[in-house]
Amino acid sequence: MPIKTLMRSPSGVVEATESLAIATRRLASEPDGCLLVRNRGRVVGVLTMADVRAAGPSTIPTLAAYESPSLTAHLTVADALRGEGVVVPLNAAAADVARALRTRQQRVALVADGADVVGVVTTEDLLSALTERLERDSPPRLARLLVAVSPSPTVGGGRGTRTVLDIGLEIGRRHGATVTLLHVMRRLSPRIAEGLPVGGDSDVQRWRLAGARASLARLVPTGIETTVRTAVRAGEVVDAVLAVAAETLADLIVMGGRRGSALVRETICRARCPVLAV
Amino acid sequence: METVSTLLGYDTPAVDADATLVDAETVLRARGGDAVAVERGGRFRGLVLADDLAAARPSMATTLTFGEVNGALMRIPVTAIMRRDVATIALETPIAEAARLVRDTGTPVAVLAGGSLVGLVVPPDLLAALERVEEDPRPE
Amino acid sequence: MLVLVDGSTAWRVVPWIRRLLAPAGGDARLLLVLPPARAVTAAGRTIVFADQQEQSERLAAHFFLSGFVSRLCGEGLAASAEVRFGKPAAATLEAARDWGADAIAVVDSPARGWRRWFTRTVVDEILNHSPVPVLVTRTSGQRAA
Repeated sequence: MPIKTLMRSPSGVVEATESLAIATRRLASEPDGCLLVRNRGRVVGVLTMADVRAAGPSTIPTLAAYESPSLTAHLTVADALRGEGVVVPLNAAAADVARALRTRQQRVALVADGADVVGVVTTEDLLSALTERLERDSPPRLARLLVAVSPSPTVGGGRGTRTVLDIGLEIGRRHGATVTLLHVMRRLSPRIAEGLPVGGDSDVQRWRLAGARASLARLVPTGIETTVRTAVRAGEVVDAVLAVAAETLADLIVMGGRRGSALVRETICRARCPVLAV
Repeated sequence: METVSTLLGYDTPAVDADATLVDAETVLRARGGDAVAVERGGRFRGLVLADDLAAARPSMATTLTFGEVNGALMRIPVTAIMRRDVATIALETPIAEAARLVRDTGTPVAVLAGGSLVGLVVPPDLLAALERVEEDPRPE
Repeated sequence: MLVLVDGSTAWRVVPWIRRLLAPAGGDARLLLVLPPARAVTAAGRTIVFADQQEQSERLAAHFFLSGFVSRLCGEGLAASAEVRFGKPAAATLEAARDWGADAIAVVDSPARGWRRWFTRTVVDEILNHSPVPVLVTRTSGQRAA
């Protein structure tokens, strides 16, 4: 990637002998936050807000008390320059500039065309280039969704559940994501859910589990392009949702119910990904 | 998709929350880098940036002697300049998004696993990733 | 999608909006809600009237949002910005209604102890009263977009 596509035009020039206080005020209004520093007609470096903060009065009030304004007013831009500026040629590649900034621990590179400075490239510009480069190969999308549903039949055909499901599947379809439909049964034994032997009313619980799985499977429309998996877990709803979200590396949790409920709130507080409360 | 786990050296400079600014400076000078993590009880609490340490030091116009400045810094806790609102990500976060966060926040990003600090993603790591990606011989 | 942002959270939610809306295109509106502007007085005289102060703050807010809007537009989304004055939750719900938003996105800033009861109020209120789905992301302890 040639540096020409990343660089910005010089935003302003300040003399090395100029008052640091005046340069600070100018810097605050510069959109890209750096000024070229000139000394005797030659560009000698770049001034950034970090340089100004380092050279200016202490940010600790007890220390700043020993720096009177009449003394700090004499500080100049030259006092704030740290190290020699990084200069790169106009035909440099982004990788070369990145290497130069990294090895010399600088944030801004001057781009020179012969003896003239024609632009600057900042670390932020290079980070944008990195993001763009990486997402050229893998555009941003959601890869895995977790949709928490309750497939129990209600009057009206379970409209609330269908809304959560509809939204979850639609998002999944748009992103080509794998969707996991999760139903959590509070009164089911975790051992039953995991298929482990247990005594007592195990037959009833297994029947309930089978019924829940069948109901969940019926929720998945036929002929859709999205990969949909179903899962039934036992125990506390939030714990189960977060556990499955972690297992599936969910990028987004979609859940219904009353949005302001403690259940939704706790999921939002503990989830490792955003939550869409439908 | 490459994740930040490939960037980390797992050797993060860190100090305890009771440490002083001089302690933080000492760690940074010895280990290099842009930031020092602050931890308490094994949990990540915030970051002290090299820039903030530099800004905490008085200017050349101070009337304090060098010894007095260092003496004062030895009494100031890192929490006085620690940045608490630090972006945190997980090991499986794509590098692209870590780069975006570092760019947008202007600070390193902390990588956490179970509330504990695993590493920091700092601009030099990302610049090195850019070098690697750009110099990849695979055709675009 | 109406996205409620402020100076400290925009960087967190905007990438998620991009990631969520990018595959199919989408319309995002970034909303910044400021407290009602007050006149600036000194020695009993009004130096800056409230509406002047509001105009100044509105311009500054739009300038802040413009960077994020440009970034989203640059990636193929239809993005815009809006600045309102008032209580954040109420202004957000009103903006969502006025604009016809399909969803609202907010950022939750986790707080501990007594702060929890104050800092979560906006997100709670939006969750409780929103007529459309609400996307909630957090500033920390959560994977980035």
